[in-house]
Amino acid sequence: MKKIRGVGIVLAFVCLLQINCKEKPTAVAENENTEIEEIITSLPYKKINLETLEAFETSAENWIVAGNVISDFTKEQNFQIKKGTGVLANQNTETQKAHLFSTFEHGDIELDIEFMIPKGSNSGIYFQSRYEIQLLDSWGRTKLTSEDCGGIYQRWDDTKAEGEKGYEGHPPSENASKAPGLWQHLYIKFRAPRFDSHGEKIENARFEEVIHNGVKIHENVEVTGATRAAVGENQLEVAQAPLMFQGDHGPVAFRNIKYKLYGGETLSTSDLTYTYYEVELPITQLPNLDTLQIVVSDTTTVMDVNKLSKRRDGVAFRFKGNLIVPKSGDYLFHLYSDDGSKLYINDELLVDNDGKHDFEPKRGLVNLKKGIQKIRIDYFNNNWGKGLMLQYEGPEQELVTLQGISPYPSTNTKKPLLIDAGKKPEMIRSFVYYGDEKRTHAISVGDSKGLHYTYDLNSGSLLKIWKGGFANVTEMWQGRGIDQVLEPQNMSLQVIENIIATKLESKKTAYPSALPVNTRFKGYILNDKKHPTFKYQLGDTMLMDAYWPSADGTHLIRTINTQGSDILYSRVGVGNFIQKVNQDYYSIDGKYYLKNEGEIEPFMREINGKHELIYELKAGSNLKYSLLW
Amino acid sequence: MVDAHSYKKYKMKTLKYIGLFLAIYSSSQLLVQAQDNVSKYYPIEKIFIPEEITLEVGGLAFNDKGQLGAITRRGELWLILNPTAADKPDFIRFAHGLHEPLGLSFKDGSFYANQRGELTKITDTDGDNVADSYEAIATWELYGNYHEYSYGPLFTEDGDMVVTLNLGWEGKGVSKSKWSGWMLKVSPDGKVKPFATGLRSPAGIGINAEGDIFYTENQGDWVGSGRMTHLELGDFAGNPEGLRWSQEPSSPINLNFEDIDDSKGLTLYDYKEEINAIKPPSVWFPHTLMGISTSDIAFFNDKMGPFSGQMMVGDQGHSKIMRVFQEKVNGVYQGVCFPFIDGFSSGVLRLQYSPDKDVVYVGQTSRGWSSTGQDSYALERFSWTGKTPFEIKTIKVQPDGFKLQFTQPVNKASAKEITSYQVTDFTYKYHHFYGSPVDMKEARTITSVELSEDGLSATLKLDKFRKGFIYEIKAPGVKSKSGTSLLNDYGYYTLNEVPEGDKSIVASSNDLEEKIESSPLRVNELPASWNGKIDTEIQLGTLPGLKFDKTELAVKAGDKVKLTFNNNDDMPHNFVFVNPEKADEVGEAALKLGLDGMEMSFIPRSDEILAHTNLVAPEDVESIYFVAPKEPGIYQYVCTFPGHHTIMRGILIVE
Repeated sequence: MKKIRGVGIVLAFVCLLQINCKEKPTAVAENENTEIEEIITSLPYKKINLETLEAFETSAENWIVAGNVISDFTKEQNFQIKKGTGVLANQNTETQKAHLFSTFEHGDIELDIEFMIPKGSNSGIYFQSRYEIQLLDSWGRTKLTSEDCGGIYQRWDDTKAEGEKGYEGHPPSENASKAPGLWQHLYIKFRAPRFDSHGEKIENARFEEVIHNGVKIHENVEVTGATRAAVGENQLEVAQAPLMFQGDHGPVAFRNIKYKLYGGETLSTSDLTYTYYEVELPITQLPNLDTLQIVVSDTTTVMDVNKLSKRRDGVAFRFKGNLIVPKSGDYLFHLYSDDGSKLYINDELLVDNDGKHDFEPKRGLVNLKKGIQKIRIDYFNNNWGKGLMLQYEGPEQELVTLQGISPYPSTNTKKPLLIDAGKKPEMIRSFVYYGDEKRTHAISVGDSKGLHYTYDLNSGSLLKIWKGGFANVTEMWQGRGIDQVLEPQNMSLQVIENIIATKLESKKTAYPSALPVNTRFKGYILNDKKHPTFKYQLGDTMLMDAYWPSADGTHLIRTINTQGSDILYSRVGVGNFIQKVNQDYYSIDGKYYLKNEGEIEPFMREINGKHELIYELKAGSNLKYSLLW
Repeated sequence: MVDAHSYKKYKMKTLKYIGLFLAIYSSSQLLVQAQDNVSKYYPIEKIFIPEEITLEVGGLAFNDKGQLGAITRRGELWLILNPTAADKPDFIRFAHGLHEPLGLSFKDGSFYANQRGELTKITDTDGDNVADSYEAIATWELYGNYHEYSYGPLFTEDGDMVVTLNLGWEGKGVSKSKWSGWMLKVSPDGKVKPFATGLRSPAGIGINAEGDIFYTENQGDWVGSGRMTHLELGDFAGNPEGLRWSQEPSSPINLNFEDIDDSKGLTLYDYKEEINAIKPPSVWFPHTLMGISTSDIAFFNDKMGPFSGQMMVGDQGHSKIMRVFQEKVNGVYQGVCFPFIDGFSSGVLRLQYSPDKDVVYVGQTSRGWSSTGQDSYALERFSWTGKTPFEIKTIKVQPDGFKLQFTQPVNKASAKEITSYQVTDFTYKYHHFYGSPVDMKEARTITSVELSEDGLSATLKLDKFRKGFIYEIKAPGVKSKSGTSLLNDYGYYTLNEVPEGDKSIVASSNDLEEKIESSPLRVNELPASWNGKIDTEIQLGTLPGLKFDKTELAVKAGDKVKLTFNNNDDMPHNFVFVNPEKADEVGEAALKLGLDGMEMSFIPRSDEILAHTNLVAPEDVESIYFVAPKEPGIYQYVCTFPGHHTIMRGILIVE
């Protein structure tokens, strides 16, 4: 048995972020390429190698491996392929327009993927080559059907009358689409149909969860059969089949394709015995059970410490038994207890969750060989609430509870408190999270056009931008509001912080991360539309910083007006690559577009391996640009 | 925000029962009478709030058009255009988006409000009744803790603004941001001058006619009970956290956090002998006896009854307003607090006079900090009916006792009797623990009573004075000429200084401790006679907002019951099992226990009590054993901690 260090593993995967993303729709997915040192809380995804096409099968030449794809979103199906690896691109033609199939087959699967769809294009991801999540340039659409991006495509019956042939489609619950040509994120948890021993279907396929750009758009949606244009229109459903990417409808690109397959045989325990002890209070850590008098010694099937205890306080247990391992591989164990516990596999300590604490987990990663292993858990409770639960995740095995019972039902009774803008903009000052950091002097501004932002008044910098619903203030205005944090109602795009402006010695001087000490925030005034303009004094210069949505609600416009004599610089974009996609628009890492709208053009520079977009503000000059995503 | 609801964390003493008849009893009956009658003199009127407005008031101020500004914890500033309207006044949202502002002033056409991290000037520059300028006059650091509340501003005569900043809360008060735990003065152009520290949760600021600045403080760590302190430049009021910033260049205090050592066991008053910067309070508000979370300060004028020049001090947790008379003795402020008006609908946070100074508007909120008044927010007002209540108007210290002044002439026969009065003195511990028990309590001997010719005052001479102590002074036997009892027959005088003069003070001591015995109704060990058999085991916990986690329990008649009360709340509670429909009676009796209440776990002596726990501290557990009544019925259980019994209760069904 090889033991793998369970802590401090450097994961270059985004898997942890993605898991996060479901719970906390901020600071997600936009941070790819960053390495995170984290205590592992989940087994890693398997990432598809995009150096070559070896992971796929296809019958034509429209699918290629590329380094990057740039698209001018103002032009239909514009698709400029840059050489390299890491991106899977489809550029179909009249003759070359085949679908792409994974070499692996899947049943239950979690898929985490990024895609880029040019203006007016159309594609789809077919689970088991049969059940389609639609990919489409649906940016800005308000009336959604199952044909819109993220939709579970309708089924099709040619025998029915015209107009009734399509049925059972499921539109996404919200339009979470970004502008065409930007990278978008999808997370899908799919459950395959189930069949009995005669091959009769006994359970339909199901999309358990679909999250598009951080917004949950489907939950537990059943599909009664293959959707339209599925492979083999014969509607035959199967237990295992390849994943399919649609190639005949238009250009599309994918990257960071990761998945976990499920449905394998699961771990189980057998021949469980336990010994029960009563211990003098207080107990702060596991006593030496070998020297304690055994009060009860018996067999059991469930490690239920509440049921098996003879009293509430001052108890300890030792559970022993067999662990039946159906498949060799890495297993991640989550040991929860109140108070302390330790998990041993083959008499080797794997998880140390000792000490007096609430019902909380510690984790351990181990490589197990197929066969029967020995499992042992020692446990104690000092006083009041008791609980012991062992969960695990293994090769092709989802996270499930193996033993024990959680004493706490996982219900969140807080009713969300949501704020939306009326006709005029709504402002809320609060603490906000910027990544993991709490910012204390922030203002969020919501607009009826559905473009919202959070701004840090200490640095004069945009922190987040988002669309859809404005603010969730549940953690501010219920009870004491312990967090005092405003959360965007929807997935927000976290913008890299740019302090409002600064003096630079030269155009080659690095941009500072903090404002000069002689800067003062002076407050804000509202214009006739009630949008705030933030005022800063930087030495002798006054800066007026304003944001508002464009008339059509697509662009967030920003201006800085200056009054003073200093030459200042204002950085407005930072990224691994900043590139012009057409005459007006810069793509910032493919996350959002920036369009210069004023007389002064920003200049680009490369510094410390990053691209930067900077305006030079001469005495009394102004800048104007807009953001689009 | 004021914090009403965390209490001392250390273990309560084992229950001791007062076996003797308490003279307190007669006076406390009057307390009930006072609750019934204050409305004759100061009736409370509720102001209609439209349903869509959550008016959790953080601050109140009138503008120059006679419109009332009410700023809320949700960051909105509402203008009430015609606050005197008989039925439904009109509301306009004047400003919004502020971060939990807890103070409001108006000056020269602008409102001024303290957000958590900024003093903001809010102006409507284009006259459309909606603010369009939010000017940051001054900002200060925060570290992102919910307990970082900021109060004010209050303008001084010379146009500066006084603000106070709370400590953060991490299981104890912490000053992790510069000037947290301080009073600051801010000039109109934004210069910040640190003024005094030692503050913990300073929810109220007041400036008297002489221009002296007072602030009110909430019980907590290093603060034995609610109190009011006169602050001058460089003062240190007692909580040492703010001293972490005393070495900043602009700090007026040269005292370090490490200089304060509670292991010496000194009271705050005595500690002043060693450290001159220490400023003991001018008035203590004994915890639970007067209030539990001190808030705003306002001053009586002659339109508000016979108390002109005195102070009103709000209490958020008890939904009431107290009355304070202060005098300056040997150059030091000290004085007495009395009950005044209770029964407001939510937690009293802000007091604001109308422009004509004849009505006081009371801004209220209880979200997250439960109050006796059950509404989650309210705006109410009161004025004086012109009738004079029979009250102790003032208590002034004499070289050898106290002089009580009454609002109406007394019945001389009743008022000249020594037995018509009782005086007890005590103090609070100064330590890093949360709150303090009543400490070093002694009954004082009244050696003589002298009445004035006009029957408007009585001078009590005492056996002994202890400086730095709080004097509970009661006059339950005093009747007015027309034979009525005092509306409130007691007050608490904080004695910092004794005036010069003839003293004939003799020391003596009279301790109640020895008369306290243990309760037979609290059995913590499995009774031997049960032979190890328990019929029913009950586990009871709490839910936030003054609730038991179960409101209905059932046992069989005659069952041997083990009940475990786990206090998972952040304030102390007890469990008292009483006869059917007796929860109110027992709860009210607990209110009357006075100074001994805490020590007695608020368990009154009553035949209606069948079993009880002691006060169980937060995160503590107590098990009791009792035999269920033979008589089936719907019995009750209740927490009798003051302010809890009307809400925190359940039924125990005996089948």
